[in-house]
Amino acid sequence: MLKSKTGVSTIEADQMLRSRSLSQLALIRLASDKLSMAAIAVLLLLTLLSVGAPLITSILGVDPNTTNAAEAKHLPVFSAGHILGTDNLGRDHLSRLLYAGQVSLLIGFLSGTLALVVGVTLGILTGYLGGILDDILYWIITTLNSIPVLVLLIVISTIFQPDAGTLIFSLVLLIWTLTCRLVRGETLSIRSREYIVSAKAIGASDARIMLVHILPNIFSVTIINLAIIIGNVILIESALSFLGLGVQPPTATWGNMLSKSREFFKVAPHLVFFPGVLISTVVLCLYIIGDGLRDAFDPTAKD
Amino acid sequence: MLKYIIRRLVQSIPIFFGITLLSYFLLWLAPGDPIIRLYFAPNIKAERRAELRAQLGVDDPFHIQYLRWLTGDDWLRWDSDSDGIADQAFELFTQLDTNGDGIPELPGSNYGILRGDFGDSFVRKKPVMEIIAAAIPATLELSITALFLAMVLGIPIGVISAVKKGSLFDNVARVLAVVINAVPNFWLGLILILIFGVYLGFVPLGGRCGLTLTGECPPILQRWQYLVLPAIVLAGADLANFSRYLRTSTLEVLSQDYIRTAKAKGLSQRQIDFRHAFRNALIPFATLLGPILTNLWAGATVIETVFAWPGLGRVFFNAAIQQDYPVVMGIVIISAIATILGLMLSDILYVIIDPRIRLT
Repeated sequence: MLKSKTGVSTIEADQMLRSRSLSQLALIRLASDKLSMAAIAVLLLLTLLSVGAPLITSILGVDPNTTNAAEAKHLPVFSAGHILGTDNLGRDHLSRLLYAGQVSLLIGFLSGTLALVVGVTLGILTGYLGGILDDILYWIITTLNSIPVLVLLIVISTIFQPDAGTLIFSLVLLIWTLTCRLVRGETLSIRSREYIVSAKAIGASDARIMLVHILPNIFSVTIINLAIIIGNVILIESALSFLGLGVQPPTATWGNMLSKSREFFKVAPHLVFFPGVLISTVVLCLYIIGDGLRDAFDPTAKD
Repeated sequence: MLKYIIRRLVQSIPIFFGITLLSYFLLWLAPGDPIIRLYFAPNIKAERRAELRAQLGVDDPFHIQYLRWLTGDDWLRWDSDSDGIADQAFELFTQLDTNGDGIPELPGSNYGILRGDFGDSFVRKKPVMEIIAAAIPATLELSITALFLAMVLGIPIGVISAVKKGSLFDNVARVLAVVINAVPNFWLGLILILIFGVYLGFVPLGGRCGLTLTGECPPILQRWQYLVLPAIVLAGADLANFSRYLRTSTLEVLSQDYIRTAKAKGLSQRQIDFRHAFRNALIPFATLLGPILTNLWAGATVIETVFAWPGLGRVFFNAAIQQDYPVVMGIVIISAIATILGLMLSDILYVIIDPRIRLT
């Protein structure tokens, strides 16, 4: 009998695998992927640090909004009392980064998830039901997709001057199309499969077919998509805030912390450095997790 | 083939109208009194304001205003009850007499966007088309340079990655491609300005050229140092995507039967890689043309602002901040048309290049 490295025979392993669902299998594969696990760990750490910002800043004895421009302007990294220095108003950089993380991550995760929910719902509905509803939806999607999200977002932001809430709303309004197109395509291909036809023959209702037969089958596609969409949303939000059109100060986000940093290039390069590193790290982690999930759900897709 | 092209053209008409509808809807939602904006007179008298509102048709329902914006008001007016106030009913070539002196006023002078008239800029008081036309050369210069860089670097990297799959080169290239996509392009721009502009002093901190007497920029070779950083940053995302895309398509081609046949014929590996694999791997590349345009345009908006590059992206951004809506809408619509055309062109190219694609 063939034995693998772990000492489990291939037949046993096969039986072990057979008793698990696709998602459980994917999770097992993901857990053995070191790069993805590292990315998840980094992301969790950054999230915890941001969520724990009030606690951390109170321990360090700093406050993100206390200004001290007269005495503590542009302190460099590793200054006494300010580990990552201070900005142009003498505010502690580290505590601002942590609080900014709360806003940036919240906007990214919330709007990414909401857009996914909208996209999946509309994608399944129109993909399965078809007809005029599908035509209208496809028209809306192609229209929205012919203008870059950031460009539309700039227009919307100058008209409405958003806060965090309306920014999330407008982000969802613009990015649901990405998921929807994907889900619609998947649904169209699933719709004509045998098991859908047989479910119909038994007399299953449309709602049941969509919820019980289609939704679980597009689950893997959407969950992979989610990580990448959240990453893209964080990038778009940071660009918008960098341009001064996103969430307005004094609320800090990683993007709007960068927007003024340019004026203090020479005296305080650390103000340019850290917010960008944090954005890149978070987005990179999300992309890696997305790749890891793709490989985990479909091991044959690995090239 | 001609049938296919015509069908693709017809298909893009509803998308074009979708874009105009969306743009006008956003403008319609915008707060602020257009009379004040247009005449720059905040303390204008109430009666005069009402008169102007009626003349301009500001209070007309949305669809009337939209149609007027789309088709112009030089050839028709909407006035059903002849009270001088434009309203819902269509009346071709009706001559309006607003002030009741018996002499009909001339119709409007707006040709509508369908005939390329986007009106005048609120801020610069010049036709929008003029402003756009003036900004296009700078944007083209930047995008074409970026595209050139992305292709010249991205394509070979992708092919080498595929041919030497699993090698150190392949792994480094793949990691870098993901990293480049994850780094915000404006931040990369800032860091590059900081290193090469502020610290090393190799390149200027922004702009397209130094001050000249005529206000025109000298030929590109005399001011390459202004162009190099923004072009590199703009090329970044496309470079990464090109190399990834080409790696996948080359790998796919390398596993085809005709490659095995070429091997069996006794061709050298070099001949197989370049004469057979590379050329076929380039085919799906044609489909990238549309997404490339969108990418470049989205990137240009931010990067031109970071590098103070006087192109369409920066004009768009400044107009947006100044709430100069005619300019904003003009640029959005024209860039969307470019995107639609790009997508269409790439579909058509794909069909022309690859005879295996069946027209459906």
